[in-house]
Amino acid sequence: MRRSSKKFASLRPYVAETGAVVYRALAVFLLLAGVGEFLHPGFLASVVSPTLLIALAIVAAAAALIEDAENRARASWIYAATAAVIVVGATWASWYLWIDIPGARNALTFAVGVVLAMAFFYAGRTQK
Amino acid sequence: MSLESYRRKLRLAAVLGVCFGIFFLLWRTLLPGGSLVVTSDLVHPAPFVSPPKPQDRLAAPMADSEGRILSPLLRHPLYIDLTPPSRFENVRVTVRYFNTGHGQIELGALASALDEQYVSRTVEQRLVDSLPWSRVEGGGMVLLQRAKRFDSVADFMDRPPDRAKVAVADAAAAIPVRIDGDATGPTRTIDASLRGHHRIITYSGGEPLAMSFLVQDMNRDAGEDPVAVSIYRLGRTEALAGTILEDDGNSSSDQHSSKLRSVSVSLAAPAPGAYQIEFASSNDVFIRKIVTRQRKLVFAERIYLGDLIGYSPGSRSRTVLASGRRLIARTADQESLQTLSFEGNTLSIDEPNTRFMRDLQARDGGVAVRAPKGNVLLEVDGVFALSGGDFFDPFPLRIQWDTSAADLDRRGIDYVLARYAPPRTDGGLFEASADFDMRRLALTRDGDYRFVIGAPGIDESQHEVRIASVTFELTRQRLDLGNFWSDLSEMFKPPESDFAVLPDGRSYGERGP
Repeated sequence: MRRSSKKFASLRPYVAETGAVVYRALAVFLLLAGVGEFLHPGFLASVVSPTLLIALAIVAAAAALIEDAENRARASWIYAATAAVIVVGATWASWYLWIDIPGARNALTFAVGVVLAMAFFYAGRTQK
Repeated sequence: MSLESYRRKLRLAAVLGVCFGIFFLLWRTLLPGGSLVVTSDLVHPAPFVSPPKPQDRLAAPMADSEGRILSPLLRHPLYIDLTPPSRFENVRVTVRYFNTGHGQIELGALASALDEQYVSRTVEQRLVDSLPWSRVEGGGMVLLQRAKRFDSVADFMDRPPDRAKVAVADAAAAIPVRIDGDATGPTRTIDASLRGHHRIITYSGGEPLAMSFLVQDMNRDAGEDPVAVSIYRLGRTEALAGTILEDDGNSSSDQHSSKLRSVSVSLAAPAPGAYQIEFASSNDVFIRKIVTRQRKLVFAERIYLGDLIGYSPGSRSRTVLASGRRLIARTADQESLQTLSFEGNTLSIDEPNTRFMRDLQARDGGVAVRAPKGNVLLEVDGVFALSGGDFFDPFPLRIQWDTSAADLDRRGIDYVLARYAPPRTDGGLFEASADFDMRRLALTRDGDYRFVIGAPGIDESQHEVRIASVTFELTRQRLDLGNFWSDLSEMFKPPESDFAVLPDGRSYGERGP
């Protein structure tokens, strides 16, 4: 029990780093894809399973929260807020492909992208 | 591996992953191979395809014995919008469905947004498929003969028989019309007040053909309201003459009506025969008067009686002559709910945007239908005339979803001409396709292509049509390096116009969802 706890403690920085990087990469991807969708409606429609993408972002965010106590307090609220935004995004994504109004689709895509990018920026800053 | 080294490698992988993801989306948008196939079962979301509209025209999906999900069609037509990631040249629409015996299935695509005209193809016609007559095919047409007389469709077209012996299904009415007597008289002015698109059929014995329309733009809906008037030889699709009247300069919805403006078309020396005058406009444009010397003048399949608001005080009842088997009426306005009367019968229109129908008794010269108020769209499987002297019937019998072999016997029909290819069968389902040139299709206001699955009469039919899937196969030239930039700009260029004149277009009598 103690050995496995020690092993986890040694792996924890790696898990946290993986989560943080994957999370940021997804945020950048969604931001760029959101801009693409804003410029050209239909750009994101190739992502046949946007829900899967969002679920991956949530797992990565959770992994990124495994940090040392000092940083966790400052960073966690940002991850929590971003995760909430992602959940809203996931809800939207579940009917995204059926939406009728391209304007609304663009605005939502862009807003999700911007919020994710801001979260990524602040999360990165507080971890240093 | 140290944390620092791991971090560097992880970040490199993340950058590559993001680049790959964006490249993938770009690839899926540009589609260098020039083709894209999208399938929807109308139940689950699918990329690029809207849900079926209006959704209440489909019943709850059911599973068949093989576990396939089928959606029963309750009412006609069903609209589906397609938003491809870039522009394509052609689309093949394939619908897979189970049909317990309904007479007719159609596929269509929006080709003119301003007047809601669709190009439409009959993809299943049960009577044409089942009639045990002699059958010849050619040029995309099918000719059925009770007793074989013609060796080919071309032979039939060259020496057509008496029009009264011919029935058509989704075929150009190329059967010549001949009327004895003078086709023209003194110039006359017809008070009309008709709203939007109309297809007018007239006859010339060889004398000059001319028609002027005094029109008024009522500016009730936002957007420009041009008018295009074109003349065609009946059954042909090449315009012989045409003119366009630009918008009145007011594209708002302020309800400020324009002055009366004139738009005219003419042919100096037409060959004797029937001619089609296509008056294409939005519903904001009213024909207030028609000035012509033509004695014969009928409206094919639909006439939209307008109101007099913004033109003259009060309201006025109208009587038109309708020739066909069934009268369909609807209005978009609460104030225009009314009861039509004809031949001792009535037809109450007591709900807006709803079709009401009643069978008509066959009568030479048409049945007089009185509408006490304006703003009512009347449709019939024949023609309308504004007066008895105008009336003539230029069309052969049209095969409908409920036409039977007994109907053909009773009418003395010996030939059936159809532009038609029967559906295939695959695993117990029918599979019917129609091809459309996307460069000639219009976009909706939301920027989508709009397609229609139609089963006219399905709400009256004893049979069911259950849709399994709709597939769109989009194609264009492959993207190659030689013409990369020109092809790329073509891919994202919007259509030139949302307005086209379609001599063979059809309307579903309603504003699309």
